[in-house]
Amino acid sequence: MRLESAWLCLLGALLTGAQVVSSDSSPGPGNETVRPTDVYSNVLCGRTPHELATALDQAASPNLPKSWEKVTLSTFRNWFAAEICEAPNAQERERFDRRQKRLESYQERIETAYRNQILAKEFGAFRGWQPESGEWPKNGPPCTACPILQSAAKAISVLAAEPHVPTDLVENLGSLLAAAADQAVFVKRLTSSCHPAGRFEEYQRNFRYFTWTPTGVRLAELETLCQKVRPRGNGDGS
Amino acid sequence: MDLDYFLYDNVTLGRRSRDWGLKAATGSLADQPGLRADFEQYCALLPSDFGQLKQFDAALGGLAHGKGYLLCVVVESRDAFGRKSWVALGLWCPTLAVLREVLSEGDPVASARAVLGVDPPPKTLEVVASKRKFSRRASGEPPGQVRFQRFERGASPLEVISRLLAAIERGSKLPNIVAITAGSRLTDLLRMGFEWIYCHPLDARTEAAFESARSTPLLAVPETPQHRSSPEPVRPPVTETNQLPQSPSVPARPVRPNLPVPPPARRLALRAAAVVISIGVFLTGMGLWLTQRPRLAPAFNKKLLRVLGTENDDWKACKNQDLKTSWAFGTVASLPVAPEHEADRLRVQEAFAWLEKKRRIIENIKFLISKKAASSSGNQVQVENWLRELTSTPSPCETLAEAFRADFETGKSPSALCCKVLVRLVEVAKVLPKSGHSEEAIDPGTDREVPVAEPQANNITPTNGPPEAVGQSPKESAEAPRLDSPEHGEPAVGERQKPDDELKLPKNDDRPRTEPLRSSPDSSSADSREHRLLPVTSSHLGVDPLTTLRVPLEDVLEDGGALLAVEVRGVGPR
Repeated sequence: MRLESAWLCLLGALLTGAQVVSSDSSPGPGNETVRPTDVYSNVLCGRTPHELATALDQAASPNLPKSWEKVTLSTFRNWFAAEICEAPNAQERERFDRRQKRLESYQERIETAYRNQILAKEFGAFRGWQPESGEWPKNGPPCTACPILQSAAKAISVLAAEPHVPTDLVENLGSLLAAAADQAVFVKRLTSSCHPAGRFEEYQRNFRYFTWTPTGVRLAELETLCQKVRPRGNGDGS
Repeated sequence: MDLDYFLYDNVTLGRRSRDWGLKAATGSLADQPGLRADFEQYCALLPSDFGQLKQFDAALGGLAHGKGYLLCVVVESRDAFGRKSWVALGLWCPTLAVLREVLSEGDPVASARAVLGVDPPPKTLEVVASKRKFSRRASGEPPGQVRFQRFERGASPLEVISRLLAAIERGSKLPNIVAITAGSRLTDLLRMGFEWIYCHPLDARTEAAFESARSTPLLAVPETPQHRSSPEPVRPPVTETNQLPQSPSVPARPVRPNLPVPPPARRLALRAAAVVISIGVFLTGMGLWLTQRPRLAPAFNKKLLRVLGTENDDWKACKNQDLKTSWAFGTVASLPVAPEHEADRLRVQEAFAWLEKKRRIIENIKFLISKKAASSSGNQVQVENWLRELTSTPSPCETLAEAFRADFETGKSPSALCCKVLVRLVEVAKVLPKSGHSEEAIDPGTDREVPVAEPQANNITPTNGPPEAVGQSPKESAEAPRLDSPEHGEPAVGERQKPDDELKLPKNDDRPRTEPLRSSPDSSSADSREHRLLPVTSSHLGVDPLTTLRVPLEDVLEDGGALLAVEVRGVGPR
């Protein structure tokens, strides 16, 4: 019985190693029977050789190594989330830390670029939007939030009229980082166009009926978008 | 030629709601509450027991009233949501000459159709000239006979015209004619003074009732020589007619049928009657028990008056017209919403309708507790009933406050003010027992018309027209006064309090009623009382448990807002 278990373990280890080595560019998360973190841990510790790991060692600048440009975001996250391999010796530990530090230097840029890309994609829904002037409260009780929201809606409609708003998501790191600069500018403009926090809630509370109109529905969507880009701590709305 | 007219329809603002009721009484008809009540009851007779009336195109009937005649035109229509519906119009012909001209020269059905969908309705109904002329055909039908006739699309209205022209020619009493009825309570109609009843069975039950009414010996009357010698008018086949056991000089009285071998249908009816009587006995007990319950203390009225008194500005500000012209109402009426929020908009619309209904209920309560009316103990019961109605139906205020909180926070909007009163009234009403009625309410001898203002959702009809039409003042409007407008729909309540008016129980829907439209000329008051059928809502079960209990299951059928009703009849507790 013990012998059979030992054989099974050995077979499993061999399969794991074979899969890591034979994969085209990455250990990959595809195999469900093997814990990805173990695979990536072993690669990062140097127990299993891999070209992407080697590229990390050889990277001389803060830019992403060439071989990493086709890696997808989800694969990158697996690499980044990997823990140190089991019972590492000093050399493995040092290798793991060095590679992990390199991944960390990429991680923030990649995640920001991806977040911006998502925002830009969501903003695509506003393309060509023009708020209707007749769908705001008028001749009724005073609405302090209205001019602020109207101003934001106008600014957003201007931004949405521009042709460069990207609407496609890219997954590989190279394209992601290549578009990062443009998207960062776009998100900055989006952030400055957004109304202050709390204004839409005030509008919704006092004039809920108007949030059911086509313009009101768009405002609710804009509020969701703005919540994602709005700097934290800007809760007073002023 | 222009005629004053009544308009009775089901124009609603809610897709799933119904609002059968009188919507217009123009010109001189606005000041004829008796005729108005007759017409309303007439209209209530038309639909089937399940609230349906369809596949008839147009029907013609009428009511003799004083020196004039109310020509009743019923036409099929569609409501604002495209549902099948029908509309009844009462064209008031003040003299026989006018009636003759309308019938012989005009086309009452086309004239009636011309006002459908016009909002607000025109001041008068213009009689459209008929393409075909009717001859004044002599009729051999003496007055006093009652006939059940199967309604025939197209033919029956022409037949009615011929009959009426013949009666005018002959100089005899104009017959009361049920233009069309899909109801099964045909024998009840006999007691209401109708000479001609056009039946339009839409279900097996009504079909059986119709067959039974035509064939029952109860209704058979031997032909008199006068009948036989009369020339045959445009009339139904002999098999389609029935006659009451009465002659012009002999008063009609119900006769116990002599049925040695009842036919199967009748046997079934007898069994049903036995069941009904059993239920009646049970309900009698319930009714007697309920009448033992304690009554409201006079102090309660004082509490109500504090809420509704003249010094209460909130109530004074809660006016129908103000609601209609309010900013929030106008917004709902004029500002469309995104398709995914259409249900929300309808919810707010219905909330406005509910608020208006409740406002009218409050108005009734206010009248009933006023000094003029408070002396009647029957009115006390009515107050209780209205208060229960008020508290048991959904409150619209939360919905309105949610949709227009800013409007409510100012506290000055009509809806906010109405809601304020409503909330206070509901608070006062909490002391009411869950149910409990007094027997005064069931004694027809003390019947008084509650000055009501039956709740009608369409008083606020944002979907029926542009907001400016909805909100326009009566003076600005060149159109006919609506019943829901302040000067006609809700006159000073005292004016509407007529001692001889019939009882109108508060009701929370527009179910058909079977109140006697007209009692037979010979029937004694006691007799008519015994057979009287009053509408009883579930909340009025204790008032008169053995009259008619109807349980509406709204929106069961989508076809024209059908009404599913369960009816229990029996002998009253008196």
